[in-house]
Amino acid sequence: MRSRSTHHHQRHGSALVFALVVVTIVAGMSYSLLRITTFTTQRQASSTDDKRAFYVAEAGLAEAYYGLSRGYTGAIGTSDQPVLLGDGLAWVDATRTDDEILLRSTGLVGSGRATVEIALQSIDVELGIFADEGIELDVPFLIDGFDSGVEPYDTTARTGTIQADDNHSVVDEANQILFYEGLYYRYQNKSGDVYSYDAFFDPLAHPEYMEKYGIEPSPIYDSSILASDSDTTLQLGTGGTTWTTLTERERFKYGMYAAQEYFATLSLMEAPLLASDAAASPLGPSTGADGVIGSNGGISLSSPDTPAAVYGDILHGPEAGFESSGVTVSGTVGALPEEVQLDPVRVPGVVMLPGFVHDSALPRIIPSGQIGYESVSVAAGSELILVGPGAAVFGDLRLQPGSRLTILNGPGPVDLYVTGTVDFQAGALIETESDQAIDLSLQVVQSFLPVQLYAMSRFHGGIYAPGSQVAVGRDFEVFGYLVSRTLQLEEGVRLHFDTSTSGSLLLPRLLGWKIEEIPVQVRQNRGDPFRIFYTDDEQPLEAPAALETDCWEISVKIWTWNHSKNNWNRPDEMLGPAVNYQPDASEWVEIKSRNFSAPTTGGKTWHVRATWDDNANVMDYEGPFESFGGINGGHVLDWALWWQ
Amino acid sequence: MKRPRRSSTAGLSLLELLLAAALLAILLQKGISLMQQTARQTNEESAAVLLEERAQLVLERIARAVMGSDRDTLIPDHAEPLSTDDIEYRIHLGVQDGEVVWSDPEAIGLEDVDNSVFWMRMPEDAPEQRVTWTNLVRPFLEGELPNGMDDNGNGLIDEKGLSFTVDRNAVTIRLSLDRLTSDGRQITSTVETTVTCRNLSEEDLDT
Repeated sequence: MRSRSTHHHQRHGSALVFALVVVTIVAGMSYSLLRITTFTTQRQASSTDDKRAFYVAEAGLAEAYYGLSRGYTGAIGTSDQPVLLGDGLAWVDATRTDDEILLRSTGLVGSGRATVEIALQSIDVELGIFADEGIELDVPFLIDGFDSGVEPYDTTARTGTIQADDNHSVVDEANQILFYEGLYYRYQNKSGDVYSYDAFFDPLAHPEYMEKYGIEPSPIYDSSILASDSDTTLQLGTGGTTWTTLTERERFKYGMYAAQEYFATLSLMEAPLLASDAAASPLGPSTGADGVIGSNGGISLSSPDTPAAVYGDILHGPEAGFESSGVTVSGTVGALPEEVQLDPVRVPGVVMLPGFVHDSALPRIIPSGQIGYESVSVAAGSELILVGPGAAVFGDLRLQPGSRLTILNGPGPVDLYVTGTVDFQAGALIETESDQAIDLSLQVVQSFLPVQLYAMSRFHGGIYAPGSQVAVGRDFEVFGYLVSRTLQLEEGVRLHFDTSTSGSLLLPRLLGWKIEEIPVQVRQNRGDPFRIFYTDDEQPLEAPAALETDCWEISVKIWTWNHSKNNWNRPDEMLGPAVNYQPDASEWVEIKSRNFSAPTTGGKTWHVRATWDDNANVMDYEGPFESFGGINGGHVLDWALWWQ
Repeated sequence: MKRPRRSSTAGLSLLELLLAAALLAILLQKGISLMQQTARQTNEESAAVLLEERAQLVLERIARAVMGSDRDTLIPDHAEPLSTDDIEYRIHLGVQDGEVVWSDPEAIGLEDVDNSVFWMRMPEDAPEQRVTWTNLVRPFLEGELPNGMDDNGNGLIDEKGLSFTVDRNAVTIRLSLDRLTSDGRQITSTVETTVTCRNLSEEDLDT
């Protein structure tokens, strides 16, 4: 009985073993099949992700390229904190040398990774006030320049006359060096002693000229008082009762800061404007410098009966010339090395809503963001308000007399694109909130009718109408830049080139595009990029926002004794601790930047270290840039900027 | 009345065994047949997917090479209905001293002898470097016959298994791969893409 029972159990056991073996084999086969299927799916997904990452990287390049045209650095996000682009993450590194800009964009989507790079050639030409097909002006006008990143126009400009200029005589045709007979200077030291001189001999101070013209050295040159004692007051006059006290910057800028014996520089041609008398200039206040007027064609300026002035440089076409009659030109006259290719206006793709005529007493507000209208006309007594940041595309844009256009671009830049007619009629009013030209652009695709700018405005922005004739009325005062096909000015127009802009919307020229090696640390980690870079509580910035807030441009201007000017407009990442410029004793440095007050991503802040000589006292500062007042005078002995 | 009980050690009758064997044989045959059919289908599908993947991979490599090429160095540039089965180009390497540095000439083409797609770099003073990206290319694109006509209706006449057509800055690349499955059936995969050369001269940009 026991033995039979045992035998029965053994038979059942073998069936179980057999069943287990079969189940194991089937399970193994299923697992293998699953692995193969999963592997195939992953491979296909990886291939798709690689393509999407490639497109995201290319989109990053496009964003960076667009940013360059707005004066930004081209950098977007960082390798530690990439920004959101489409359904992936990306960052763009911008490396700038003197002539080239390298943009390297890395895109991450799923397990996909891609890096692409473009090399660009910087366009150094500051177009300022530019007309493609030549400029012919025969009315009184004023063109000068300023840097809104350093100082607003109104505090830079002075009301003065150019009386002394009438008395000048050319002593060196080749170098356009003038001898200002009508200029006088005096200085008063700390002890109250006043020294007056009845001629302004600076241009002749060079030994060569002094010998040539038999001029005795002026005491200003054999005294070190101006160089060593910054309490000395230096004043210029034109023989009247009014004396203009030069700021430290002006003293240096016009060649009178240090006791150098070489002052034969063109900068002195700008000096007469500083010698004010009681009479106001019919042209109104001016900075007396930094303007640029240029063309691919010839430039002809004449105003025989009433004053007209270009306080700055003339750049005519390479195959054309320049002629003037009765117009003061304070800067240099030269030819463009080659014709400037004006990029066409790139209108953002927005849905165009039906147009409207706004004739209500209540203001109509166009909110921030991208929007388009077929045609917009603002009637008398009505106000249209545009809120930045944003881009608005108009078929036509008309402001009737008595209407008002308010552009609230303080919160962010506003770009106005017009594909048809621009008609800002006399009696209309345009107001801009920001006084930075970079915060506003009016871009006209190509208008068959002239772009009419006759409204009353202090227009702090750029006007880019490379295919259109632009007509500017005397009440429309531009503080920025103006690029046109042809230019027509009404009598008394004042145009002020803001040098803090790149001078136009010209994009850097593409030198080359290539696929780059993916950075090792990126290539090795193929996980979900959102999990790698951001926790659940954090959200990456979107690319345009990152472009606006996380890219800094630092402007360091270095004035040297011979008035040569170096502008260091560097992207932030180039100003690490390794960047440490040590100007020599004859250089005057100002350090300014844009957007420093805005927060950076990742909690990093900019720091500055600087040592400078202020009123013979050595000053130094090291700490956050936000608490740094900047250096607007004095010899900077050492400085460095970095972020941490 | 008490029925005689069957002994627990008694076996099946011969008839039962025969019936069971017959049923098992039928089921096994059906099962094996089904498995073979499924396996064949799976193999064919896998082969088709793999071939598609291979085609996409090769197309992607070609496309990226074309994207990085300098349009002015891209030769020949046949527009439809003409096409070419090889191209020569140079790619951007970088910028040195303000000058763009271009690579040695490179070429991608179809080798008729073994129906392979090759990539080749041709340095001036060194032996050329050659890599075969696939050797499964059809002699002519899918649906095309060498008869002087556009048989497959894609606008090209007698285009090869790898063909390039150029329209200004855009290059259209077409590729047909084929292979035999384990049971001797031929499968074909045809892929196509159009990419633009990223490196353009000023004249190219104006167009």
